[in-house]
Amino acid sequence: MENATLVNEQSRERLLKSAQWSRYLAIISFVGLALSVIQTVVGIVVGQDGAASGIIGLVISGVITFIMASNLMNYSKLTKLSMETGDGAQLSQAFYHMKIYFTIMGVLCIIMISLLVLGILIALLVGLLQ
Amino acid sequence: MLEQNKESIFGIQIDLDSRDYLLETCKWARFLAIVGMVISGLLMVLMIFSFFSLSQVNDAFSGFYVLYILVYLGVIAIYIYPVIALYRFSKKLRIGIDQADQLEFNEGLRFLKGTFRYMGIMTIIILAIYSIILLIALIGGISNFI
Repeated sequence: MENATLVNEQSRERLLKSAQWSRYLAIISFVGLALSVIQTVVGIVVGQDGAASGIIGLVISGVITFIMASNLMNYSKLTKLSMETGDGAQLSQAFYHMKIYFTIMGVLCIIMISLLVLGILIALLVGLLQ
Repeated sequence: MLEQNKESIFGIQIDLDSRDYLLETCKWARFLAIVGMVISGLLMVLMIFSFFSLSQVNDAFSGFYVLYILVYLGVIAIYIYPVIALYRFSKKLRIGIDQADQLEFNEGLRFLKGTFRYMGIMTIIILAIYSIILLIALIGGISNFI
């Protein structure tokens, strides 16, 4: 089937707007990540208790945040570029990054929900056993 | 060259790759939106629950109830707008791509823009609130030294 959906003037403007806002969100995520890194490093230097667990938490959440933010950034950059040059392949790449962003968000959501369900189950079991 | 650019901007096809990426994005967006709606529903149930348990304890504070419900509804409303926008984005984009409907596709993009814009504005507001709190704390801390 011939796919005739075009990116016309109206959707162009909306894509540009979404690119602007997502760029802004990505930058804020990066800044937040940098602050977390600084906080963890300062915690280690000061010799705070629990700094080691902080590193593990930082690595996990930091890597995830970094991947999401950089994908959002790539989506924003490529969308803007493709709107200027009219290149469909760049837009395709942009959508690829957005897809990854949403996929990671969805998988994280699933993980959190399962952890929640698991937590509730464990709490119920413990309550029943007593 | 300008005309050539104009023509290709107006004529960017959604090729097979884009279509696949967009459809998969739609699926996840829809999932996230449904999870968000479930959470909002749970919040509402929680609100009704806590309202009833509160009303049994204090009978004297009737004006308090209205405020309580308003605050709760406000929180739910704040949370649910991007969820709805995300859902409509996924739905309209899906229709636009499957049925090659230009209007639906554009409407879908409108909601994507709306979702990002909303998240951006909320982040600005939250950052502003944090900065104000930080400022107040700093001023309070400094005034203790004076």
